[in-house]
Amino acid sequence: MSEWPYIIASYVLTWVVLGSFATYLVSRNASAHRVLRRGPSGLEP
Amino acid sequence: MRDTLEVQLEGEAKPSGRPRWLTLLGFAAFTFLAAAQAYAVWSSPPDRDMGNLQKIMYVHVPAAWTAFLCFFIVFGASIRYLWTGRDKHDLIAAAAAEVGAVLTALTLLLGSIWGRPTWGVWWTWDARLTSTAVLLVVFVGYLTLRAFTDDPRRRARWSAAIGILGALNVPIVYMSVTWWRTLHQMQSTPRTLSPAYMSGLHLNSLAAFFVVVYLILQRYHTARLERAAEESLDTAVLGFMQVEPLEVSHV
Repeated sequence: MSEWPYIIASYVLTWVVLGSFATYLVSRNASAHRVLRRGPSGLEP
Repeated sequence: MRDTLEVQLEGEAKPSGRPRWLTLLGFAAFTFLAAAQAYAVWSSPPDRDMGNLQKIMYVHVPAAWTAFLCFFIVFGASIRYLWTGRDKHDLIAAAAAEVGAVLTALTLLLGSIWGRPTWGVWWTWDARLTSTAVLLVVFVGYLTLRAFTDDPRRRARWSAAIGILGALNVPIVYMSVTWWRTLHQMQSTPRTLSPAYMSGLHLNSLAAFFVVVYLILQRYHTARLERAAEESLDTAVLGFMQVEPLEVSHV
């Protein structure tokens, strides 16, 4: 019975790491797209 | 300003905000991963020695294998960059290195969680653990170098060299359990693993592969957007520097 906390922790950690990383990549992508749309002036076209 | 941006992106497919197919791939890959984990956890019997702790294998081993895959991509893309000088290969290598570093860190953390109840310690300076930690340090160094080098050409050349040298560590990590006496068990192959666990491991490895493909493509796509923005800014600065003296001479 004492083995289950380790098993649950490993699966939770996997999802936290992969989920956070995927979210970070998606938000960075959106941010890069915004910068590109605005251009070097920082203004919307 | 918009015209400048159009010119910068000419010659290559213009990167769009976020392709729909990439979103669908991500959704499908994570759904597949959840289903594969559920199948493996519920269908695999307890191990004779480790009991249910064996179920950690379905997250730990695919994380390690896909991290290796990332570093092979870094190796191949870095060689291609040095050979052709094309930015595309540099960006692919950088994307794979970032995903590989995250997966290596995850592998070490999962191994630590598995090691505590089976070996009695969170960490030991075992050959497999130490060589994996070295691999992580090398690729954290790779990413740090990229973050602090402004010139894109120099950044690409230096990181390609580190990427190739760093990836050479992968066979050492893989073979470390054979070459040295270690606490870590042997590689998970059909010879060392009971058939009862093989289908779960293969399914989870396939799911992890799709997740990693999605993460690398997502990171590569973002890198292309960032590179295009960087180049449009450089062009704007150069244009400003060329225009400025003319304006002064009119005055």
